[in-house]
Amino acid sequence: MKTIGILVGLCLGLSLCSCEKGLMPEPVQKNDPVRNFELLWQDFRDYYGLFAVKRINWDSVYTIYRPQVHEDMTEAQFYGVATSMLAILNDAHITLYPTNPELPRWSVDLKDGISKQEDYAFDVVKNRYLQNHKQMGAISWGWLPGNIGYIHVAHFMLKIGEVDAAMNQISADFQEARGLVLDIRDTPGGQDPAGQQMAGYFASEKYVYMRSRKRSGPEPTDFTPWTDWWVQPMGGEALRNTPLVLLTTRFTGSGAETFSLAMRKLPQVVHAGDTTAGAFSDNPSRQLLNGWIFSLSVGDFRDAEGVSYEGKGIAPALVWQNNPADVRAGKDEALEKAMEHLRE
Amino acid sequence: MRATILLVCGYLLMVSGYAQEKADYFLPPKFQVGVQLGLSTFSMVDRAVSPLLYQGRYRQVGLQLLYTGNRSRVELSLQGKLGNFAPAAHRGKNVYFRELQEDGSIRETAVPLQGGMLAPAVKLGYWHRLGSPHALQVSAGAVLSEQLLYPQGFVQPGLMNVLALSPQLRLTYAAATRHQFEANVAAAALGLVTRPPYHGTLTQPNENLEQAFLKHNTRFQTLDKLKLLQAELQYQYRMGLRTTAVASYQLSWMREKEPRPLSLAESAYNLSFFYLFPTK
Repeated sequence: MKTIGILVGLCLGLSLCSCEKGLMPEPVQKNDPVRNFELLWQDFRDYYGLFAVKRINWDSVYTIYRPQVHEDMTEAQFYGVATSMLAILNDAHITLYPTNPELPRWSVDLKDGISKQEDYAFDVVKNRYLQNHKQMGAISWGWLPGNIGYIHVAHFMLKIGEVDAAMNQISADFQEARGLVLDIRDTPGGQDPAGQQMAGYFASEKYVYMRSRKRSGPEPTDFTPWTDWWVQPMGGEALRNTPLVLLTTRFTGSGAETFSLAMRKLPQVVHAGDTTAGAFSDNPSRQLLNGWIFSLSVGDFRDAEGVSYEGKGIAPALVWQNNPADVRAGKDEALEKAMEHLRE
Repeated sequence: MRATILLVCGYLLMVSGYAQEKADYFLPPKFQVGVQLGLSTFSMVDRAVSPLLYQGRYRQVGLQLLYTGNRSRVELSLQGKLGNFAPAAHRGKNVYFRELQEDGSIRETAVPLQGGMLAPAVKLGYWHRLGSPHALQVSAGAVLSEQLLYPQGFVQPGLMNVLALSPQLRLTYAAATRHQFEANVAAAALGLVTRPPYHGTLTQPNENLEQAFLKHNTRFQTLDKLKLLQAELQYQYRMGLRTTAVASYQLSWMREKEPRPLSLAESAYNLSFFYLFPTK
């Protein structure tokens, strides 16, 4: 019994050491403004995918901003320098998330940490124009006056199967539609393959609509090979033969913009509304030593002809901008113009 | 959890003092099925997403199937772990979101920096006893282990899937009929590793993220790039003819180099109860 007791005690003693922390080889780095700045700048050098597209020499940016950072500066001062440096990239896919409640989330398209769309409200569409409203997840559809079908996509954070389920239903419902409005005016983005799949329901033949490449190493010229994005025709005879107005605004971003690239190549589609956000690339999140999180664009996404719209957005063929006062009053002039266009 | 293990082991020791011992309790071959409950703590640094040391805890449940022959032993273990993690130097910190309400007021939402971790695992192990039966026995074998780490949060340190083949060595000491101690050591010789690529995104044309993650980011890793070590101490108490209680401590350490170094270490405390099915 004594031997067993000793052995059990030995086992317990070893286990209570809980020594996994001692096995971590990474040295704990000092958290101060200088090291955080160096890490932020270096991570952009190592991962950002749009220096060439935006013609920015990141080393020159360092020479301007590094002298502004010192160990004694406050968090607010560091925030000021960091956001000033990041603003140069004019990239709505770059967001800085401080952990200090006094410092707002920062991105070039936010004001005091707030995103506010005034030129569109889906509620206005639902309340004033839409009939027989149906919804499947993020995808809504219904009828507008004049036998016009209406589709709204709240976001593209969808699995391919979810897109298929909704689009099969929509295809069946819109057999007799005179025209279609595809509304992505408040669609912030999501998964590119979801938009790729949805575009297939409007396509008659296979076509390339986008090329993308992403950073593959620490040198700014290190990229993966180009990937071609194809639209493959899916079901939906009615959808591919029906005139369609694609409505966008400055709040149409990311995955909704890559979807726009796919839709704009279709012969029955007219792109209308306002210019899109101009932020196409995937943007994973990374972290600083002070715990702050930031996202950055790691890719270079272009249309089939090799044109990049990063930082600029895609301009519509027909510019129809809503007046915020009209929207507050419950009127959607851009949608009315789309209906009128489809009735002609 | 440590206190619980201490209490349970103390109880087992106390009970064992009064137990009537029989020499033929555990004649092989035998089949056992076991249920496992446990807690573990882990630390990780994933330079692919963050320079920070992350620490967390799991709660785990497991199911074990065990066959013991004259010289061989086969074990199948299914384990589900659910936990959370946070940067050790910034526990309790949040990021903040401001949203404009319909009435014009601003609502601020604080979202903790911590994340959740889902980690299912499957192991299939085989041991062969070396030498003739003694109180102290040495066995050698190999284990095929599959481990998914699926973090959810603002940043996702540790996202990976590892299928590893590890030679292992086991030392078993039967201290008395009812009491047995085991020590196991395993080191991966080959791994099939899935981690996000250098740029950290998974999107691929025509594929959902899960499919793209596994299809485009899986590669064989040899010892120079993947290091995976496991050591385990077990105390087994034969509670009766059909039941065995096992208290174990397992220490795991992993380091994977590509695309950026990931280091992960875990201490697991488990309690298992095995039920014996004699073949006759």
